[in-house]
Amino acid sequence: MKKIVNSILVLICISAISCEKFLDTKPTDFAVPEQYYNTEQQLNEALAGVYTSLTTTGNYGLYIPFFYEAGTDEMYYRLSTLSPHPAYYNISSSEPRINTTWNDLYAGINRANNLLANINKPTMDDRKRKVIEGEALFLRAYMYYYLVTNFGDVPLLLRPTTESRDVNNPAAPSKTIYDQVYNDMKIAKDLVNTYTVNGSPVHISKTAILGMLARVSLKMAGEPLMDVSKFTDARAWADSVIQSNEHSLNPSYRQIFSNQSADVFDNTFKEMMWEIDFYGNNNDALKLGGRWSVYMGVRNTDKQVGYAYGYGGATGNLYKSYDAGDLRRDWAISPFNYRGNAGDIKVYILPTDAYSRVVGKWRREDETVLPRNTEFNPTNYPMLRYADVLLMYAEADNELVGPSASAIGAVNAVRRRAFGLPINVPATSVSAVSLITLATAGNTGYSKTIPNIPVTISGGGGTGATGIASVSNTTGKVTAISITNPGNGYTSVPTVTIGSTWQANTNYPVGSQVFNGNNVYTVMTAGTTTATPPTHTTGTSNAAITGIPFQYAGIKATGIATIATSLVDIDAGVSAMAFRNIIRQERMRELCFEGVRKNDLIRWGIFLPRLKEMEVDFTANMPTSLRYAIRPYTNVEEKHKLFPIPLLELSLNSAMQQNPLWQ
Amino acid sequence: MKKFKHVLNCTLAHLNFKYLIMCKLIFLLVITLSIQTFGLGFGPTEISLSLIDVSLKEPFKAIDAPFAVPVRGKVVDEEGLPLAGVSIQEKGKSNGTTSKEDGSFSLTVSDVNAVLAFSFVGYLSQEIKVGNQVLMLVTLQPISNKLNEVIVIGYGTVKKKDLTGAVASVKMADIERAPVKSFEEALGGRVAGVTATSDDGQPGASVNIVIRGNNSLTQDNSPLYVIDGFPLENPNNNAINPAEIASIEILKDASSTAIYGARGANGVVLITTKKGKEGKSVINYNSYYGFQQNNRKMPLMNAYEYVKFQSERDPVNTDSTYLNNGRTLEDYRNVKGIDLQDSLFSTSPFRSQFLSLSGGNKDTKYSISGSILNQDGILTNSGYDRYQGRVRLDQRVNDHLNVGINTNYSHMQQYGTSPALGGNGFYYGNLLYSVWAFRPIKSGIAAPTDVDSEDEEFLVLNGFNPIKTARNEMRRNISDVLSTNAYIDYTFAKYFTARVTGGFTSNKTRREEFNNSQTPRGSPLTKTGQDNGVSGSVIHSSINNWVNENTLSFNKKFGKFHQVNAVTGFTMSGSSGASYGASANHIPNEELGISGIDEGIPITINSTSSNFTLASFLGRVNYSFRSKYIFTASFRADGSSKFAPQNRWSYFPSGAIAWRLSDEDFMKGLRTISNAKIRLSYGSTGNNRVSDFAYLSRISLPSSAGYSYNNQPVNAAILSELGNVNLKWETTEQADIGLELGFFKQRITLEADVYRKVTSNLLLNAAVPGSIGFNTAFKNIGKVQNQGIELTLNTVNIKSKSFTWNSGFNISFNRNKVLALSDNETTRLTTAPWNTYTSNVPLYVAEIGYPLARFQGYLWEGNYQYADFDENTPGVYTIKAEVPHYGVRNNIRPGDIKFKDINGDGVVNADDRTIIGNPNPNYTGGLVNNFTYKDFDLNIFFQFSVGNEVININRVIFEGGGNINQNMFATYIDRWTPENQNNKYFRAGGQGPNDFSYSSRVIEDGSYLKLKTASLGYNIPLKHIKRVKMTNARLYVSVQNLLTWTNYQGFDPEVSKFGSSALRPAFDYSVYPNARTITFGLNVQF
Repeated sequence: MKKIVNSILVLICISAISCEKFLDTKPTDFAVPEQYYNTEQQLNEALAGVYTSLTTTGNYGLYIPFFYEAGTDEMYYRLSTLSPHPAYYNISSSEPRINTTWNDLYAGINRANNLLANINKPTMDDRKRKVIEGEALFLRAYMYYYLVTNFGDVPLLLRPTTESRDVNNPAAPSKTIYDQVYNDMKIAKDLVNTYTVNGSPVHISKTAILGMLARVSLKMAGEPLMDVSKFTDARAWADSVIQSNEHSLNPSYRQIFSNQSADVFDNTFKEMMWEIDFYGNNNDALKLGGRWSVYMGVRNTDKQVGYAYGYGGATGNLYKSYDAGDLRRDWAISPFNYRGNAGDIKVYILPTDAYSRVVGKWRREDETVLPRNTEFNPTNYPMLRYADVLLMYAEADNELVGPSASAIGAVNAVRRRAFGLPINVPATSVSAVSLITLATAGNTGYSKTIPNIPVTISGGGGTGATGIASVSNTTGKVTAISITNPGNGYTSVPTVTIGSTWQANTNYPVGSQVFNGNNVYTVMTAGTTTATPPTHTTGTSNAAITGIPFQYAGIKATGIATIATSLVDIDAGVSAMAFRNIIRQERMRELCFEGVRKNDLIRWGIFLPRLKEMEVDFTANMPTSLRYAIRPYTNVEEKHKLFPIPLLELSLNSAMQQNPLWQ
Repeated sequence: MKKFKHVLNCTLAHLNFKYLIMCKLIFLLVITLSIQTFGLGFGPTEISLSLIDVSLKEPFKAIDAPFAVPVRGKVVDEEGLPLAGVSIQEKGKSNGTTSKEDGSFSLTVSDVNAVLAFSFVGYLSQEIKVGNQVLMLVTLQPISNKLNEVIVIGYGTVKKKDLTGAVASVKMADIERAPVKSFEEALGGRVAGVTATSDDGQPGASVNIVIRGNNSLTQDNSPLYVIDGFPLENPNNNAINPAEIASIEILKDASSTAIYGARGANGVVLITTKKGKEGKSVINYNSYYGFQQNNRKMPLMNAYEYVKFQSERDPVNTDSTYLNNGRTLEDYRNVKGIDLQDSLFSTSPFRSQFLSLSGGNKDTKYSISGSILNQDGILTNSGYDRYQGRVRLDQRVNDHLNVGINTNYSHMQQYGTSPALGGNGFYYGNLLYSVWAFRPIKSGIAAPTDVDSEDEEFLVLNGFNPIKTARNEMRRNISDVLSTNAYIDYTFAKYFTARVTGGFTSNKTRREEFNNSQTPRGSPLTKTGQDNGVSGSVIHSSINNWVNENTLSFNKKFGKFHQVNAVTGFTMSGSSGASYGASANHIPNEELGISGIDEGIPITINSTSSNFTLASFLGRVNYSFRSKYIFTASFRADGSSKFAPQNRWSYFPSGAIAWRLSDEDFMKGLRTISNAKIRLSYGSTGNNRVSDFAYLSRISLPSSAGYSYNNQPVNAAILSELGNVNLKWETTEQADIGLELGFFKQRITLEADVYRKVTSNLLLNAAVPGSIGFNTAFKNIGKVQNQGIELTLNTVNIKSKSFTWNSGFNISFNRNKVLALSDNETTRLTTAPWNTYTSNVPLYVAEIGYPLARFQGYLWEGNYQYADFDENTPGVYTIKAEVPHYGVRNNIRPGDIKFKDINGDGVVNADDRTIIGNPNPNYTGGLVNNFTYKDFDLNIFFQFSVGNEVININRVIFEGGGNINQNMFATYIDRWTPENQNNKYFRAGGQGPNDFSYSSRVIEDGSYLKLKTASLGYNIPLKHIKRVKMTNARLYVSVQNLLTWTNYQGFDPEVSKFGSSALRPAFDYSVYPNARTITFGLNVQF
């Protein structure tokens, strides 16, 4: 008996000794940080982890480019729901989107912190290590830059989070954060590769960091720090980009954005210095599409053409800020809607209608990844462009010494390109077709099945102007004419011809329409015309005479052009104040929807007054159906220069306080 | 032995028997009596006890002896244990005696025809003619609700009367009356303190069993299941055929659960399957066939009402669509519209076959059984099938050694679309939306005849043809569960039993989904279908659990009054799981189904695996003094691999005392009270329901994260979870006071328990400040309290020869509240993912000092009435300045919904949200009545829940909300119009902002009384079935979910769209309705 008991006890003891071993299980499905960052490959994966934190919905996937940038003098959120939304300035500190952004940015910062803390762990080529370190350091600095500009004083955490208990982190003063950002970027710029080595604007490059240093310096020179000494730095950083000769302006403004939609990198001019690379249509194993341009773009529910919500309302203020002949206007702002919000039929908007338009800068028809997804697309987001650097240079220089030749030259480069002119050739002005209006007489009988017909513009001493006319599918009338190219050199009003004129000995397909004199005819049978034009005003012509039967359709529409002259180059004698205003407007015209406007208004100290001007403008001019869009400008207050610190952060981090504007 | 010899000599001498003749008998006697006397408590002694009766009868032939006879004997209970104090009286005479401590008695009776009357408290009295018996062995049967009933507890058994903890036995006889496929479905309302609620009526839907309230906020609250001694945290309970369950015990208090230590905090459900009995082979065949039908259809507007509503909602469209060509509203008066509920729901069959063979001899016992069950769902193309078999073998090797093995295999398949799922965050994405929203007529007065050709109708509503969805959407869960247990019992040195058990359970599931071109996710007509095309996925997962338990038990009586029963042991268990699968989009050949996914574009490849181990030492001592004062102490040490080495081990002690007052002298005089016991217990239990490696930080490279450099996507490493090396056990401390009373020889028994349990160091997936780079992390933080009262009353109302009526009633009151949350957190808000408009609006609040979940929203005040407006221009109403509004002042019109401006700032906005409901019931319970009349038996079971509130989101959409052209519930006919100014339903189009969906308007009282189960049986009298060698035959009809009395307007107030989540209970939107099941069956035994 005793023996048995003893032997059982012995058994238990043996078991107990092996117990700890038995309980020492190892995870089979994931790595732990302590056992990671051991190889170059793993450092690269970790770096991708830092980059990808910028692509989340809470960051540049949707909220930052769109939700937080709508509600300025260039863009509003075109949706009439009443729910609180950052773009309506009616949120509270419990706003979940702001909380998401906060979390996503700090998740990225923590990834960068982990990577930086382990950067020396693997044995690898030191040069490559430095590049990874520089990129991670820059990205962390950039995320802190976004945090400090949008939230004010926030916790400045520079070491990896290893314990769930380290939750109570006090905010660092904004100044400290800006200094950290500035200094980290300065260090990073010497570690990373050049654009040329990188071969694309996706990995951050030396010049891109220089450009960002200019941006950070300008911000520090403005509100809230008002450290005007930073203008010198801003100019120096911007100048160093210019001097590097790595970058130049792409002669075609629209091409920059078409490239982004098509996922093409322009390595000739390299105007795009840094962009966030979204990828694919989310029909791959890795789902890396973005949503921001799907939300902003022209509404369309047809996925063949490209699904888009049309929520990015462009303000009349922006539309009207473009001078006649400025090619940027009708690219940045869509001149058309899709018929019935579906399909590929474009209905052009009356040129006089400045207030009902949406963002057109990135167009889903340019995407090359097929089939197009209804929610996600591969369109890349511009983080920094060379045009911005030129304008920053001019701005800093003007603040320091007034309008210098180099500053004016920088702005002129941007303006010349805007008018489609050679960048290096001085250009006093352009004379362009600024408007085509429709005469009330005539305008009947257009085929309801041909939605758009060409408009030719001739005479007037100029060249290059073209247009397109939209025909209603219910009334058979031309409803609007859009200028697709405003041309140049017009000294008198040119002649506008809507549609195609009859031509002899020409093959016409069935259903096509021509005009002769004031009459519009429809081709009833395909074939070739004779030398005799149709002139009848009723019924169908004799095919034996006109070659093919032409059916009389109605009376031609008439368009009347207006021309205008716009100054291109800045007058060398411009005052510093005037030049400042020109630069401020130019930044909007050039960089609209690229995520810089709100911060520009804030750092210039004109955020609230400018938005209140919008309230007046919207009240006076918004069509009834869009009246609701006044709301953000009514709601906006001084405190909206910053986001509130998320309530969840405040309630969980006892060392953190709400920023003073929101207290 | 000396005593035995004396008895033998005495008997032999008296009867003048020849010793030789007796040879065989003596041998038998020696065995049996020695077992009786010395072998008690060491295994299956009842085997031999019944032998003696048989053997005694034949050799002792009648002797005519009309003179005084000395009678000796022994009184035992049904287990063969001696009964002391039994009163023995010769009938009609004055001589009598009582049995001694060892159950023996001796008495001299007048002659061999004398009749002895045996009576004892708690036992059925018995009269036995002395006849030729000289050594009487009398077995007294305890009366119903027996105190001597043996209750299975953790690592042992105990007599009901010696129980010190709160343990409830489920009456399997009642459960078996319910036509259900798993015991879970019939458990609700059966046991005080145990709630079992199903998510909805989907065949195979999970049933959430919660014992004494939810302990944990974010983690699993389901109990630990111990099936034939094999502890499992989340078994597939559908794998067990309820017909094979011998008993279910539910351990509720800390004293009884602490022996399961780390896993006992949520309570323990002990399931013991049937084993073979000694005797001839018994074949049991039970077959039933029945049908299920939809309990309730939502009444919808008919054609006339629909057009009338549309004319208010959108007059312009109505004029051109419905009231064109000279038609008027009246023309729709008698138009018969279409109600898709008729097409989607149908009466469906429910079949079950069960066959078992069991039996054995004193050494070998076996039980073999198998069953087939097919349950078609009431919703087109859904259902559940199970094919199951079990073999159990128990072998006595010798006096010391017993071995056994028990194996069950189940193959199960759940199939069909799930209305509660698939919404994708849009209210119109759920199946029943499209069913209810479908308009009863199209333009013109013709109702559509062929729903198949009406795809466009649904697309306009953003929905999808639900009939096509149900028919084509392939969702299938195929499970194979194999579980096997084996044991070796070795008894030695009289009082010791060593037991070694081993068990293994393998649970393999295959989840298949296929969306062909006729489904909302695969159709070219929908956004998802356009993006993904025909798509499909298959995921295989398997979980293997194993356990090895080694226990040593000791049972001895010291002296006259001291009984000691102890157990100690060491156990080890482990679990490993893995899953892998793949999914693909744009599958070219949809005819191939799942097999064709290899031809599509691969999307996600799943591959996960994990494992954990647990080692434990356990011990328990029961000490009973005179069976009056009973003490229990238990202890368990658990080591779990889920925690970092320094926190791995934890210790869970408990203690309990019971005092059986009824055995005290001062109570003996009270004849009406047959039992009185007070129990007190206190102890701590743990919970380790946390992911296997929660203490470790995690780096992963998920498919959702990557970055594309120059259009070359690469994987990204992200820190997906923040570990916490300080993570440790969640601890629940529970105190319980119980009172057990029996009256009139246990014809009435009452059991009452009061408990309080406090769970601290909650394993909480706690919110952490985002600034540290994570949103949540597991922490031991937060505290929850549950306290309550449970009452159980069992009565034998009538007991006569031909008619009996028994009742059982239970009721429980549980109150839970949050005592603490994360650092600095006073409330925790939870949203309900059903619709994009409210995706950021929290519905549930867990607040310190209040229950784990309460509803939050706007207080509904009816409608704005004309009095709230100024009519400055005729027909133009402007809301008065002092009347609060939401949104744009000018847009509010008379008849619009009105909410309370709680803070009085003139605007109803997010600041005016308040508590609008409480999903926790005031009390729940059940009432069962069993009647037998001659050969008929009737079982009726009611279940009730009172005071629980449910949010009926269906009403948000179908009483004036949703899309413009959709149909509405018939209730909305009574909406506000200038002619019908009321405060019930707002005017057409007056539903207010979409994100105001959560208001007290749609909080409903979910109290209910259900006639849950009714079963009527007829036992064919033996004389009719004897010819075909049957021993038993019962014809029956059983009904489940027969009637529900409730004010709740939805399908069923017992609903939880979000499953078992403690933070998101009682949400109703587009759920699978509960079916009423009616079955006809035959049960025969050979």
